[in-house]
Amino acid sequence: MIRVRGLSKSFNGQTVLAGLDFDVPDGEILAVMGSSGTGKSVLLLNLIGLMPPDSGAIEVNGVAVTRLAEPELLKFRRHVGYLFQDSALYDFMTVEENIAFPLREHTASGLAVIRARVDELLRMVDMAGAGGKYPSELSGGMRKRAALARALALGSKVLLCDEPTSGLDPVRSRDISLLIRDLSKKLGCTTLITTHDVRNAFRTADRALVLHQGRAVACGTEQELRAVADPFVREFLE
Amino acid sequence: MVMLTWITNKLAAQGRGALFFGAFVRCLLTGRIRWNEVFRQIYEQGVRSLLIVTLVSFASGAVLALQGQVMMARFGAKEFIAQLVALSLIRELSPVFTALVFSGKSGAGMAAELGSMSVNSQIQATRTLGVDPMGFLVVPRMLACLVVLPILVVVSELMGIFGGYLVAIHEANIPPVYYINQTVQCIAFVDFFSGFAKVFFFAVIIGWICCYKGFFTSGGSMGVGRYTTAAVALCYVGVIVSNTLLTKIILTFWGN
Ligand SMILES: Nc1ncnc2c1ncn2[C@@H]1O[C@H](COP(=O)(O)OP(=O)(O)O)[C@@H](O)[C@H]1O
Ligand SMILES: [Mg+2]
Repeated sequence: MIRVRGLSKSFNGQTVLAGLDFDVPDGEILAVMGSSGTGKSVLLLNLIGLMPPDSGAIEVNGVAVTRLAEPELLKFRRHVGYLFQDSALYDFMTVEENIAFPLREHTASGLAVIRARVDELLRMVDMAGAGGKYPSELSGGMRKRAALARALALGSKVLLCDEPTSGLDPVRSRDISLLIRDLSKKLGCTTLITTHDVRNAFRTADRALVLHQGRAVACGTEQELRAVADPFVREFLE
Repeated sequence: MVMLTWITNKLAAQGRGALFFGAFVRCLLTGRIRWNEVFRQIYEQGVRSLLIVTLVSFASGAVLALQGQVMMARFGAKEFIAQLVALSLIRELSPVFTALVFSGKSGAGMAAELGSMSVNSQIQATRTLGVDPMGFLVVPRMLACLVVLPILVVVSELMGIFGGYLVAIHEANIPPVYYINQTVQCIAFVDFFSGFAKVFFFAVIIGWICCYKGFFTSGGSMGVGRYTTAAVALCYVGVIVSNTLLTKIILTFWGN
């Protein structure tokens, strides 16, 4: 369960989030949609405590994120998977080493156990056999999938994805959208994705929220959103 | 007004630099040290600088002997070339030259690596994986500087003396055994110590500046270039200026 209440953030007088409220119930997938520069990445950074909000409350699976200091935040983040827009795999490690990294850091498992888990994760994202490659040898879509495997390695029940389809061609975009939905549902994750890609948003998400000028102007299923009269929402969904 | 903002910004930057160092010390004392990362950094930094340090030092020793031969001949003291070469290198030139070369090779490498990790969100990603990037990325690099630079300085001293030796025996016709004896006898512990003590200080300065600049790099690949050059320039200034102060302090206490 993710609960956001009155979340506000501005930079040097430029208001980016202006009192945002929304919930993501357990096991649901929500897409936060908005044009570029509306503050989608800022929202996700706030949710995981990488950027402090000016005001407002954030609760993720019962943890009040805004009240935590950095050492507690580091512990909290182990339970949240985060997929960066640019994948952010370590380029000096192979895919396997990238996925094994959180396991080596946070579990006492031996090498064999970690190996088995990495293989399992690679199969989950359809990358069996590509574990020995370096991120620079992969296509954008494969990098996203490897980063998704790393984000899920510790068995997080909350998944945050920043623009999972950005920079991908339509086919890869569809594949990663369906993969995120499939894995979220299979693993029982509460998931939030941000995107400006309306079509793929509804391939992944149960519900979507339209972000405009720092506020949620509409929220609901695809049918519900298509019935909204607000001119910005209508234009955005076109 | 513009001036004031500029000064405030500069001061704020110094404050951030100091905080960064404080965070490093705290992490070093309280955190787990990732030894395999430390060894990897030692290897990488060492390999990056070894060849160029060898070359620069050999040439410096050789040129000291060439000039020394001319200068000393004027005073009729040609047999003291060995002392001139060894003492200049050990007391002053090897520590400073090596620190400068190390800044330009290994230091630039560190700043650029961390810088590109910063602009590609890899530092943020480390935090999302529940790992402190200070412990994972900065501590191993700083520790490696403290190991690698002193080793490189010793290599530099040996190579420099070797360069001087070759010139002295071939150009100045000084007997090899005599040259080696003179070298070994003239080096007192205080000479070695007064040069070597500075090296640890340089290692901290270089590691600090390069990790700090890299860690806070922004502005895409352009930014990586800008922050890396700024880091190296700052290292040069830091090494040369602090060397003057350190030399004064060391000579005050261990003057002879
Ligand atoms: N660290 C920051 N400092 C200043 N401004 C920022 C910062 N991060 C984001 N912004 C501003 O916030 C706005 C929203 O950015 P972002 O969340 O990245 O948009 P997007 O919806 O495309 O992900 C942008 O106008 C950006 O300039
Ligand atoms: Mg964004």
